[in-house]
Amino acid sequence: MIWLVALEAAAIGVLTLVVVALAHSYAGLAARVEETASPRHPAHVDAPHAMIPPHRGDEPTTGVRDLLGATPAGERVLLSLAPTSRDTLLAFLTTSCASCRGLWDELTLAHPSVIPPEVRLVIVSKGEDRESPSQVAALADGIGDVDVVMSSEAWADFDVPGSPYFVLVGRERGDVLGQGTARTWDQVMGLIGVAAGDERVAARTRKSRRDRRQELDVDRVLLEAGVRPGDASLYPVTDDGAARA
Amino acid sequence: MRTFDTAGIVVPVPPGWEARGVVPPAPAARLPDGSVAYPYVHLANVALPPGRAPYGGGVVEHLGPEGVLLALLEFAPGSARTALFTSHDAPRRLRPTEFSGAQLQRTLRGQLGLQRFFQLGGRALCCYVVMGGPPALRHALGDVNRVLTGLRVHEVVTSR
Repeated sequence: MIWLVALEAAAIGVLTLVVVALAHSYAGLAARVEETASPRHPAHVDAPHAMIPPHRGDEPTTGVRDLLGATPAGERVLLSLAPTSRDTLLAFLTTSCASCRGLWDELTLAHPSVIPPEVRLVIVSKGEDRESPSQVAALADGIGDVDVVMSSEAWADFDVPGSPYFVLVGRERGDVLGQGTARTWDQVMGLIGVAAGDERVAARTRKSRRDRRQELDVDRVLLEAGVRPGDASLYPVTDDGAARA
Repeated sequence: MRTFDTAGIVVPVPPGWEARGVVPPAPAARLPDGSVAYPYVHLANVALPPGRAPYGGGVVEHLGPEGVLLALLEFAPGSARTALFTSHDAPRRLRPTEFSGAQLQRTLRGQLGLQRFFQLGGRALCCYVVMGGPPALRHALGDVNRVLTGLRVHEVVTSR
């Protein structure tokens, strides 16, 4: 009988240890999930942006050489993308996406130091059919002489999969030198740098049209599924629980 | 060339040129598309920044010797009955000898200008052109004349 009680006590002890271990494990997992889901988590802010390879060399251009739309104040605009004296960075932003808000704010605080003078920045929101001019105007207020154009046509012309999205257009032929997503202007500058570097090594690193299309498709599917630039699920997690930047 | 329409003032835009059209929010008359008079349109072979003055302030200072600005400005409908607007067509073919520094709204060294008043579609308009310098006159006057040749102005529908 004594042996039976002792055995039962031992079993209870082992089970208690198992429960405690499971609880500890669950708590760790919960803390990690909470950590990575928090928008204030620094690993998100500095997470690398998604990149889509640019069109290069003798590959076809978009054929888009101008941008037609209206300013939030109602001015009609037709901007030339090529031929012109500077490359143009088209920043496709909306008034509603959370990632866009940081970009609007950062531009208000830091322009014109954010964008190098050899690049013309044009912010493109959707047209009046999709955006409120007064809301766009409120965000555009205070960013100085940066062009803000409302144009759903431009979103369609450049096949923009979601926001925020950036397209660097070459000044000579209107080639798309680079395009992709980013959550900070530093990342956008990185995109421009990559595009410039890619131009230099284009002859050696040409990527097939099939690969490029596949990457565009992946990007579109992720955006449709609600996975936006900087989403924690895009990045591997290290043993100490931090997302790799 | 792409066509640009601001409040019924329709112009072709040469490749590499920009166009911007302003319709001030003070309706004296209403156009078929619902926009209001009196508008003005700017075309240039340089980037047109936001916040320009009707006669090109904010642009002409940065034209450079090869730059050109073409402004089409509308006046009050009653102006069409005045002597200044007796010409019943736009200037379609400008010649280099018609330009001079004396016609500039704002005199800037090296720049040449031209100003013509006319009526079209019952609307009183002014064509104002600024050439950044002699190179613009040599290389860009053809584009200016192509814009003016293609200019169409829709009649105003008076609001009731």
